Amino acid sequence: MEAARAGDRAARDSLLRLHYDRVWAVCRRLTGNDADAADATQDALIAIIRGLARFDGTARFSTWAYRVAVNATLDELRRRARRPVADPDALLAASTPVAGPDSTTATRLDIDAALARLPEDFRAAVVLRDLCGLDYAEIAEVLGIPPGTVRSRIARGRAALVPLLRNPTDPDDRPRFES
Amino acid sequence: MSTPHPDDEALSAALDGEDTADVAAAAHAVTCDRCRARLAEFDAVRAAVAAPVAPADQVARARAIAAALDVSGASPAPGDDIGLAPPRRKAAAPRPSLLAAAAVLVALAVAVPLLVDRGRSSPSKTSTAASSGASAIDGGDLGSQQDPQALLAVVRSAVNENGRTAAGAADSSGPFAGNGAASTTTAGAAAAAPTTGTPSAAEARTNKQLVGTPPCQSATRETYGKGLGPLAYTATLTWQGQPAVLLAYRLSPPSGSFQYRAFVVARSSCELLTVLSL
Repeated sequence: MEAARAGDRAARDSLLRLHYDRVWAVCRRLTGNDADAADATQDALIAIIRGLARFDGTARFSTWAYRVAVNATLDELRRRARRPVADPDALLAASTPVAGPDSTTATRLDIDAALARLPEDFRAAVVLRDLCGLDYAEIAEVLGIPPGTVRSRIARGRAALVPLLRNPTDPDDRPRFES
Repeated sequence: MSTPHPDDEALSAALDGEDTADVAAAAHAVTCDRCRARLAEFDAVRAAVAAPVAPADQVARARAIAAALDVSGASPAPGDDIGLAPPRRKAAAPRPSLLAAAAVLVALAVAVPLLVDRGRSSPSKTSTAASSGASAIDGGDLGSQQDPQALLAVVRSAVNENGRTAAGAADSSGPFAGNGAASTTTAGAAAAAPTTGTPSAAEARTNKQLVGTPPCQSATRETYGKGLGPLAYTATLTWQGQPAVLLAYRLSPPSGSFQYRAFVVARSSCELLTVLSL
């Protein structure tokens, strides 16, 4: 870590390779597609390198990397939101292949579609908990919100996902969030 | 006196083993059918979210790491804090770090249009261009289309045909045609017919070598250019009642199992109507 912070290219390369998969995973699950995840991951890696000098070690590096990844992903999603986009359901129907006999693949497609319908704040909390395994305090640190809010967002996010995963095409089961 | 049912928040926290106050909720859930069922639903959600994410392809991985290492020499700029601050609640103006990232991506992307242009301007290299996907096919007019899956079949057939067939010289009769000699490649029989188009048009549809520049190509590439390789296929159509243009690009690098991304945009405004991945 010290060598990476000092600018050693080989050390930085090792650091990025070590953390690439976790950054990719959170970006991929939050964006729901490979193209945006690739962009967000690349932005996150650049931000990690550029922020290394100011990483003070008070948090675990992986927690800090998650924060970078979430920020990069939210930025990517906002860029995407500013583009003219058709109905997300139509895009999903068009781009999602028919689920094959591989149940793992089918589950991934379903969860991507379901997560896409959650507001970003709820999606991030749920993904950081269930995919990344962070505890509520770590999620609070990553998202910059109180632990009580983390608890609430995870619960409401899960509650919204239940009907979507049960029957993702039923419009009556779409989650509704009050601001 | 019965214990009141814990709410979703308490059950969710109990599932995560987050705080001791929820021990009561967990204990209640063990004996209460309703709460146990709710807990099982949350657990199913947790398992679905936790399902392994397919790894990134190696090319994207190598490119992202190389891009980060290449900018590592630059000093952090004020406000270059993408990872240091909690996520921002509102959209922010582009920051230096993102501009730097954009610069890297732009540098990576500049070769793509050059490849396309080279494919078009060098007839003697047509076969090579076609085999690499740099030579686009003009699918003519697909008629009225309503169904994404049917349109997906049309595009899939066309790009597969393009990949198998060495393209000939250009044809002048396509909707974007300029001055060129006639040559065609015919779409495979698997191509889906337009849902409401004339049968004769569907049956007789031929794919021709693209000459000229289709409408909205610049706008589409400017907006969605990241990861897009050469234009592989284009056609006009009426998408759900709206005059439109279809632009299918080879992905560079491929995105997971997807090799192409096709955009259907309004012919008048270039507004995105739908996107297909295949």
